[in-house]
Amino acid sequence: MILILADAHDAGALWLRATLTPLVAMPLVVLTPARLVYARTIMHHMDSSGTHSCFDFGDGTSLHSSSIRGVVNRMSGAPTDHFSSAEPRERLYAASELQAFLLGWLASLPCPLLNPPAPESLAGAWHTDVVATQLAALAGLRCRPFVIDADDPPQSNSTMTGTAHFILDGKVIGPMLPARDRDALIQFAHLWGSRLVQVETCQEEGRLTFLGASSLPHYQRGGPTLVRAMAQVFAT
Amino acid sequence: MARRPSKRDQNNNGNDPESGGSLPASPPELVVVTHVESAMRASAGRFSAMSGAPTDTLATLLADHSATMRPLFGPTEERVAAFGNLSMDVAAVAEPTDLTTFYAIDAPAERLDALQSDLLAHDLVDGAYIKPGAEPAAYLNDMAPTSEEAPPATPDYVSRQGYLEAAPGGVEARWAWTQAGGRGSSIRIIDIEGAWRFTHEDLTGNQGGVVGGTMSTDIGWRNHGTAVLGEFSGDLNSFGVTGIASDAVVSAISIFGGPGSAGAINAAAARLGAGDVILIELHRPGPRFAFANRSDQRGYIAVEWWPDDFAAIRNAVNRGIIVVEAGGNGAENLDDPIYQTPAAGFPAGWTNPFRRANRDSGAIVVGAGAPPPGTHGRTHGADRSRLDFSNYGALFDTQGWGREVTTAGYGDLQGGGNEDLWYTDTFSGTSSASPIIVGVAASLQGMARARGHAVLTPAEFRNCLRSTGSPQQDEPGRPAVQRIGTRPNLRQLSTCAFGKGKEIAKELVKEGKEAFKELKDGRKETKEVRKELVKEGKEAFKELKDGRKEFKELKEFKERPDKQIKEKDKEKDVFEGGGLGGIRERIAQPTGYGADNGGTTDIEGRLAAIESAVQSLVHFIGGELRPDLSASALGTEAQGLAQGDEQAKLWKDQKDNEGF
Amino acid sequence: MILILGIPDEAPVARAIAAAEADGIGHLVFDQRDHLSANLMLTLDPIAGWRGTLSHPKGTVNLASVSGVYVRLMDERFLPDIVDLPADAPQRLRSARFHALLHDWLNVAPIRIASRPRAMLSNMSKTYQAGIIRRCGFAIPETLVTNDPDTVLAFVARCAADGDDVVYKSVSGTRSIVQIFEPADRERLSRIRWCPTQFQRKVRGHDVRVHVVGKQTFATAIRSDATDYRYARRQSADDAELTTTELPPATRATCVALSGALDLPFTGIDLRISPSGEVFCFEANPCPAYSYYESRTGAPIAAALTRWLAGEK
Repeated sequence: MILILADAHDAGALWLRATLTPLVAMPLVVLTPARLVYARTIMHHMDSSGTHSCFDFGDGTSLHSSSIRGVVNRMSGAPTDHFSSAEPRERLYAASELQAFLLGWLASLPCPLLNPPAPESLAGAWHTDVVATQLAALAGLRCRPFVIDADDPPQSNSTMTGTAHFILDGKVIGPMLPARDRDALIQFAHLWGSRLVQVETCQEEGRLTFLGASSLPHYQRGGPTLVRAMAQVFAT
Repeated sequence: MARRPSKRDQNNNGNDPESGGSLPASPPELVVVTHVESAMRASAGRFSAMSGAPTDTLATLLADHSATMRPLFGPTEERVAAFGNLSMDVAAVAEPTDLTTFYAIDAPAERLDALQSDLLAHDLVDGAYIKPGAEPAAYLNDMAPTSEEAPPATPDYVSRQGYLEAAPGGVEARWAWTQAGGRGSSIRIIDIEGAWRFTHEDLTGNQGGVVGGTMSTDIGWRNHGTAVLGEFSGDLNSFGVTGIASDAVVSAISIFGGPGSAGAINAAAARLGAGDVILIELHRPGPRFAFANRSDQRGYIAVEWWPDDFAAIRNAVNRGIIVVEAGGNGAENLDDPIYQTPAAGFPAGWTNPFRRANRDSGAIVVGAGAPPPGTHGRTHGADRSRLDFSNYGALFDTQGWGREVTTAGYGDLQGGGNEDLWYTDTFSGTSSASPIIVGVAASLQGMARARGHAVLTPAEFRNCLRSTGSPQQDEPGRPAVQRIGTRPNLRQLSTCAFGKGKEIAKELVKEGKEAFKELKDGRKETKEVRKELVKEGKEAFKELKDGRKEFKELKEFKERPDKQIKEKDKEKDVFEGGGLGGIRERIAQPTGYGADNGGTTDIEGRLAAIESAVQSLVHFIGGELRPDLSASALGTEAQGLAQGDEQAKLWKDQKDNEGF
Repeated sequence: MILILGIPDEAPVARAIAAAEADGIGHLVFDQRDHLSANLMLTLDPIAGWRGTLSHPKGTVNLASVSGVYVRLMDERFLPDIVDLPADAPQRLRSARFHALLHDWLNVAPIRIASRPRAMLSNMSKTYQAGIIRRCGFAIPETLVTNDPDTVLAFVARCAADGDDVVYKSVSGTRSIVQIFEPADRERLSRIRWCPTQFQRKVRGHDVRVHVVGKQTFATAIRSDATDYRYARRQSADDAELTTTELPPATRATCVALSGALDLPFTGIDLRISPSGEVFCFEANPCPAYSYYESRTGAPIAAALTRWLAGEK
């Protein structure tokens, strides 16, 4: 099966599930982080020859790592409601342990993940604005002038939405672009470090200008083309 | 645009006379390597050394020769360094190669020699060397198109591509095609040489075109590139040839028009990632005949011998990219001590990469072997014996067919006036051998991805090539000890790459079957929970479909980033006690562009949370086993620690804390 | 010039400063306790990326003149002048902004950094890091993370049948003192139900700590009876014994490969060599307290570090 790891009211994930279902040969199952974390039995085993894991749920069903053929990963954090009655030091420690466990588990899945987790975020690579801007500049995208210091932080950029481009495994999905801009986006995605990245741009001073990026894309804006490309990742 | 070689190049040490078959070499390149300590910056309007060393004499020197200097591997040194530092891959077995010290010199051809010696004398310069022009490693591929026009439909020539067949004659490509991913799906390949005919009728699919450099207009280069592509990328259809990895996406970078060979390799590496393949279809005159271009290509060697090419290859390999490199048609023994001596102007500290104990580019070096006797009615020696022109030596990892390769281009098999319909039956050289290895690599990596297996690292691929395959055979005058390696066998490579997993795979299949049964049994019970989830999802979706609501949603979405950012800060406050909290504690909960990440509200989750919350919550690993090291750097324990002094002393113990 | 960031009198930092001085390597020490009077000012150059200056009590340094940085920063929330302040105090917020910017610059500066904050994060999950360790070619101990007591007991029994103990330790970067799972621990095993916990088959063999600096390696053999030699005196009443040792070239190469894979050019790798010669790797420490090893064995790690930061190959 293909898992979509997302909260129950993650509208984007539910939209994706509906549009992806006819395009893949396997069942698509939405699994919430809560269900995962509150599983009755959790088991993750690793040694030099391999890894396998298993979750047994309260309703009697199970999830073995071998049955997962692909994951759409929208899990950005671990639920910790069940720690709330512990004293602060235990709560913080348990939250760290849980986060660490989930990172190790997700990273150990042998199937394609969109996106693989990263230490800074379970949902995939993530960078601050300062770092993202450097990556964009290095990739050849125009960036807005930016000056920053600890005493004079810039206002948060309110117009963060412009034109959306999606880069999946080195291919750009979105409006037609000149080769140079397309190459810059591909290079940016490579530097960003996720398999699927959404990049927001606008046109300024006659050039494609970087606004922001995310490993948690808004699939609807990529439309059927994006969904087809995602289906292809899971099809092999 | 390509520069025709100047009189100076052609008169190089007066070798040659043989007619026909030699292609115009790419222009010679003058490469400078600066001392890393000087931290030179010759880009973005700067010309200075960050170390403070004076650069005015260097500037004058360049101006006097009407020359300019630019970083070889990118527009600025910062960009070059970032590329090397930021994207190391798991495959890396060496520190990132320092690419920032390499510079290309643009200068009139007649000035190069004088400029080179002047530069070498300068303090800031570690190495300055002239690379002779590169040529494609095609041994006298002087086939001409037949005069008859091509028929209305090209016949199917796949049966002439013996290299696709079962071992030992072929590489077992037909078997690989029965495996998921075995045609190289999801893999990208970049070919580095001079020109290609991308409008060829059998090269239309999965094709990315020229993505760097400027194509040479010379038909010899173009035929060559077209023939190379046909071997691994020929379209899967009912006519012409079929490539070993026709599902892989192929692009090309020309060494003409600026990048040079090392720049082209690096540009390819920038576009690719772990699992992808670069093909270097070039070789270059070596020290044997004083670096002179010759039409018989004697003495030509693999390009990694030159420092900038080596660095570019090494950097690509460090990114997990498989680099397939033609071994060269110079009839040379690359183990010969002549290669231990650096060329004039190589940087101090250069060592001969042909001996991998010195240093290892990580590339797959390919030799040319004879096809099975009688292929196309001709014989070139025992099957898999070294062909007379092929270089050989310990560093050769594998061999491909160096004769009788049927593929696109040249027109001797099917010719006429339209280049797009040309096919050849006799493409040869380490040029025809290397693309076979590229096809094998792409096929294997495609299989890896299809299995959900990690792609092979370049080292793993090389190990498997060297430990499997159909062995090299003797031929009078060319014994197997003149090593060119085995001919690959994809069945054996697959076992080498994935074999260990076989036992685990069997177990997992069993587990998977059991899991599926449990799922089926549990389906009734999950239906209730699922119904709720689906209902919630349907409602959300319905809102989206509603036109008015959609507009509102878009508007809301446009505002959302601000809202999301505020929520992000709020979460941080609750979770981390107010600040970014040190390097380790920063567990980000970044927001996406479309997700609503507002907490856990599924029913089952809530129930389970309540259930768990009732128990007394102390971790199995108790507090007494978790020393608080947050402020140990200051020599004191962190505030708020409820431990006795004695215990605190015990924790300090002998060892300073580590990591945070 | 190299930049040294941290608390100057902390041993690892102090040694680095001394080594730079001894070798005549131009260096600037930034005392993290000066955080409130320091500032990092960055401007974006459209081609070269971030440029700027670091200002501190002793002056201002142009970041373009820095060739390498040794990062040994402590958790800034515990710096003495702000540790007692409430969460929303202006100084705390200012310190957070300064450190965030510093981490950002360290994450992208195209120079040698030992090590980048983003790279140091991989240590926040041992199982995550173990996957990378295994891919590089080391053996990893058999590990079980679970919330189910029965699974733990079955694992313990399986290991016992082979004559092996089981230890338990943190999955996250929060240090725990490694302990052997004893029969008495069964009583509180039910606590794992609310938080999956890591259990590991104890590998028999001797410990070797390898410090990697760029391409160089420094290996130290450790002899101790304790389960966790870092707390030897507490666990076994005897101090651990440290000696310099040589590793086979293949192991050294794998250590360097791991360092590269994690983007931790200065790292402390914990190995255990089994009696059969198999090399197990437990973790790679992103900010190693190498001074403990250097002081006992004389291994010139600080010198190697500062030279590498200054640009030596």
